[in-house]
Amino acid sequence: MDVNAQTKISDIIRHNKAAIDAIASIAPPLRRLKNPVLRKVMASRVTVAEAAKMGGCTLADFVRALQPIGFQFADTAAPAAASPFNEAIEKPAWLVSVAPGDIEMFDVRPIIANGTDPLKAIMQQFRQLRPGKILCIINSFVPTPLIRLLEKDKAESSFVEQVNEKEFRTYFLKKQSTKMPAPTAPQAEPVMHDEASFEKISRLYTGEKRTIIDVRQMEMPLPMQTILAALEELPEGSALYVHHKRVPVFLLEELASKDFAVHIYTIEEGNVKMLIFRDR
Amino acid sequence: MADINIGKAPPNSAILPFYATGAIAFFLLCVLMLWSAESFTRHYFSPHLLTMVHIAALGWGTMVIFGAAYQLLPVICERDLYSPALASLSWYILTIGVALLAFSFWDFRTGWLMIGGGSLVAISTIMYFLNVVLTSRVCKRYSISKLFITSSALWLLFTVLMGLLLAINLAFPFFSRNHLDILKFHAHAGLAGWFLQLITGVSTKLVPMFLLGKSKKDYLLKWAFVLQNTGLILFLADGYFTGISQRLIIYALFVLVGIIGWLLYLYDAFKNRLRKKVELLMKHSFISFLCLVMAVLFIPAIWYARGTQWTMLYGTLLFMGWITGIILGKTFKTLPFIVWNGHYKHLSGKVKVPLPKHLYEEGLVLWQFWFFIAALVLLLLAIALQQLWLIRVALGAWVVVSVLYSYNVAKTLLHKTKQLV
Repeated sequence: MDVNAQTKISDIIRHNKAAIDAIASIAPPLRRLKNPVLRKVMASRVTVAEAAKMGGCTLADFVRALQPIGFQFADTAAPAAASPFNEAIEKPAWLVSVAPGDIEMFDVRPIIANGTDPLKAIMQQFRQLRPGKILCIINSFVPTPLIRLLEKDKAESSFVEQVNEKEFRTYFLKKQSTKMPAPTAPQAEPVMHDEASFEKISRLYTGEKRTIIDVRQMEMPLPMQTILAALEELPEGSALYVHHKRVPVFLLEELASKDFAVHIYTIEEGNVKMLIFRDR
Repeated sequence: MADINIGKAPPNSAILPFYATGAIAFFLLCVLMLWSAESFTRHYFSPHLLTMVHIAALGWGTMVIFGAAYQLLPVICERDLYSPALASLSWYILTIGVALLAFSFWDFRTGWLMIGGGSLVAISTIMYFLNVVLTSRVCKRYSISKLFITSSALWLLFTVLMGLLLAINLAFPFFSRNHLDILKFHAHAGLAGWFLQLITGVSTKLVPMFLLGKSKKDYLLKWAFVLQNTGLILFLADGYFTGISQRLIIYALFVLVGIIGWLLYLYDAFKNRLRKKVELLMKHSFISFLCLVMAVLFIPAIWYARGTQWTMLYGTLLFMGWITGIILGKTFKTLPFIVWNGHYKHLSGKVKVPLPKHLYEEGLVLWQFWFFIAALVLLLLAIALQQLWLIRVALGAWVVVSVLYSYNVAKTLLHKTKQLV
């Protein structure tokens, strides 16, 4: 198996179980991988580069450990991925100036000791946190995947503090206004095209990536039923190309609630083309 | 391509005025009810109640139905509306006619004003009838909803003409029969002929469309058609020739079984639906149909029990529960789509456009639903208890419902074309 800095630890383990012991031997912090719960929690969320960071070792240490059991490193010279968490040694201003009451402490070590993945409990705690407040996760290692997850959109910033060998405190500052989708937030609005722009977007889905149906001869409500049924079976990455006789207004809302992007081109009255594909 | 029949919708200018006027009439109706709350404690044959019933039946119910029907007929029949111009004209004439009628009933000015109003309503009904018949005549497929819609239009014509005769009779008495008996025929031709059959026909087409569920039990609808019409015709004929007797309960039973047949058909479509989410429209429809069934079950009470409140409950269930309930729900499943088509269907050039549901405030529709239920239950309770203060509270809630509804209708109608970047 070819491995690089971005390969997930779980992929490596899936390929060869012996990798568990091999990686655990690299550095003491990585011994946690031998614990089935922690392995489940961490392995699928952490890349080789991130694991190296957590273990305080380098990519080269991984090469040394994994090459003997049959893993090839594609590009050993690749720099380790940028650290997902704050590397500042000094506490950031938001953490220094905070009132003690504004930090909520959450020790997840007992949860892990019980054999449970703490992610759900953490996310729930964080959801209940008021904007601008801080959640502190107390753990026995740096929770890299959690940092990456929260910093994606829910946390303004984070900071890791190492108390001792066995205790890490990770602080998360909740965003002032979490960008929760407002009820009136526009959802996948339909796009009305002219010939040139419709041609352009249609070209993205040609050949096998396009399923074509013609509902012009059908009696209502068959067109909508047919389109919805076709969308259910639409392969990932494909688009549905529909010949319709009118812009189907009821369908538009149905599709928006299902995260489909709709592109419409009215050639003339009674001849409408639509291109529908998954929005994300 | 030539074999595809598009069924172009008539221009929005022929449809939207009906919705606007309907909303205004509904608001006016609720204000007048509150204004004259004591009417709900008296006999139904009173000037103010006659005004309100006609605003409810014609200005509100019939008005919105005309607009919706002109829009739906081309969809159901897959051909253009016979005459959009006639449709537009019928709006002017109906609006003036209802205004004259309502005005003359309020102070009970019998005579040419009332007769004039009735005549205008009759003329607009003839125009509607012509459009329905001439549009659906070429319907390729035989369809039971078409049958219901056509027969309902015929019943409307019958109702309106009978109403006109009643108006004439008030000024120049010529009936050999009791005026109040003829009034009952007039009212029930309108309720069981026009409203019931129209709603049956339209809903058997629309409900499966919204739910994406089809029922194969067409026989239920055939029986519904036969029973609804038989019950009504027997009631009218027996009542006219031998006088209204307790046999009317048998005729009501015919109609009730006809209603149940139709509701079973809808339930079958509901059971087989692909769309699992039960929308607000469906909840509105359910309450509405519940009111209809309850009202029919009240008929024996009206006949056997003393007191006018039974008749009042019957009318309230039918006009405010059944007809108003279905319109309140269905408006936001038709109007925003009609308006959306007018603004966005023909846009091109890679522009993002809002969804139909962004044309009004969805949140308010939910409020409107709960206020509607509260207002309806309160009003029924207040009438049953004959408590004037409670009637006033209930009617206050109705004004709130009408404001919420009118605001959203106005917002939809006044929508300006928006292009999202």
